[in-house]
Amino acid sequence: MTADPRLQLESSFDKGAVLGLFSAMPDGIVVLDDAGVVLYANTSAHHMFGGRPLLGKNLGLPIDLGNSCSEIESIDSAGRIGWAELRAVAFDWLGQPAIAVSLRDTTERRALAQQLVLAGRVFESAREGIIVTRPDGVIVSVNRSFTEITGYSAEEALGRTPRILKSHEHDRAFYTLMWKAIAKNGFWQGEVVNRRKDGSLYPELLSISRIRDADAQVTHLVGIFSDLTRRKADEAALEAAKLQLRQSEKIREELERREAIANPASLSVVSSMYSVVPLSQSARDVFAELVSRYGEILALALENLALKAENPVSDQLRELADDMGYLQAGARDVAELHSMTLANNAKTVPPMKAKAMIEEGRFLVLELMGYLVSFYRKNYYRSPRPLDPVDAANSKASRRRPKKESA
Amino acid sequence: MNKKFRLTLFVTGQTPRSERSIRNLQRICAEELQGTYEMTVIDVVEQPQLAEDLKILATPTLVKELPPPLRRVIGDLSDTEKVLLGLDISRVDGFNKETGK
Repeated sequence: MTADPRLQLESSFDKGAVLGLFSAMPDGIVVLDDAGVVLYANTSAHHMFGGRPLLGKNLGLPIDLGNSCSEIESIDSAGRIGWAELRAVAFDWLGQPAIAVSLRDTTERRALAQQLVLAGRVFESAREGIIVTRPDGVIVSVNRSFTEITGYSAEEALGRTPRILKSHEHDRAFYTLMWKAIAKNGFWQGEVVNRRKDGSLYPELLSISRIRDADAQVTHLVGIFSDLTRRKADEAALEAAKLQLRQSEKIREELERREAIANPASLSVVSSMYSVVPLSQSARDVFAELVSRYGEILALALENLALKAENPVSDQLRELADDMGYLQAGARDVAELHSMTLANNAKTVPPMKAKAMIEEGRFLVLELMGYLVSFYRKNYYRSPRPLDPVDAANSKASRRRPKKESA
Repeated sequence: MNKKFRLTLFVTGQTPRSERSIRNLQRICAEELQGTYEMTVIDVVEQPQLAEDLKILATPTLVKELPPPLRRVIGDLSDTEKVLLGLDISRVDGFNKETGK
């Protein structure tokens, strides 16, 4: 009844045994006096405060006593901050009123939680669609972009397999190769055409990776895909625009060359000597008819090339050459005829065909020229007589300064 | 009645939790100490040496330097009653009532 409480305590409580228990605890155990000064701290508590001496230091009186816990930041000797859950109860320590404090280190848990939050945000905010499946293919998680791209909500996708997206655009061999690569390398990337919920098809760039746990067991498969619809369309439009540009440039260059040859302002020395007037000017209607005939022959030649037809192109060319011969047409007329025909075509036929006509026209105009030359060889034994006879010896000078010489 | 309170609050970084502690202390000072206080907030991230010099082991820690005795409390400051008790401050209105008697 009147026994000293300390004696009573010592009889039922072996201090050494209890402290031995405390030192084995993973949580920090601290005993404070009624002003908050540390009377005892176990190994874990010392560890949490960076190994600094704690005995006799004032930790502060815990505001909350009892069952509630509060979050505190612990500061170690190097100034590093850790996090802990603090619980405190008033009790009797070796005969004096004291406070027992337990500190649970939450630094790692907190870092892990923050990492999880971050991972979750990355998952949800990614522009790429993400599908996470179990090894058997059952979808366990999809992100917002998945829903935006495929049209399937998370609820609709979870529990099903990615086969809901199958388009039947790829054969069995395609998927076999894909799964082989995943089995071998743990990774596959490629373009896949899939089907949205509304039935429309879309191309995607898909990467599939295996996720393994610490025991190297495959726990999940992750598919990350980006919708290529927009990029494909952009690429195609860009290519078409580039092609058109290249073709129209080629056509323009070709026409410029032809015109340069046919241009009366750049008449060759010989033709100016003979003062030949271009057919296009002396016989406009006849020339227009020649252009139309030549255009038809060009179309037939193209048909021969493209459809392996057997149009009598050469015969028609020879007839055309003969007619031009009778009209006393020259090389420049042939060039002008060719150039004008191509120019007309460029306005009316699609770029691809216009380009083909330019290519094929090169052979055609040579052939026409050949026939015209042979026409002249056959029908003229001597050159047509020049209007102003020039002495061969001083032809150069006379051509340069004809007026001065005559004066 | 001429009691002057000098309180220093140690927090870690500008986190929502730190801001909550500061707001709680401001509320306690305004409601309970009625203008007779001097309050300082120290961020141990910005002034680690000060925390080290004062042997601050954890945050949030609230130190009452004046009036004596010096007191430190640690933890959540949301419960005014417990904070005052920890700091060994009797409520000013209670104090008034007592002196009024």
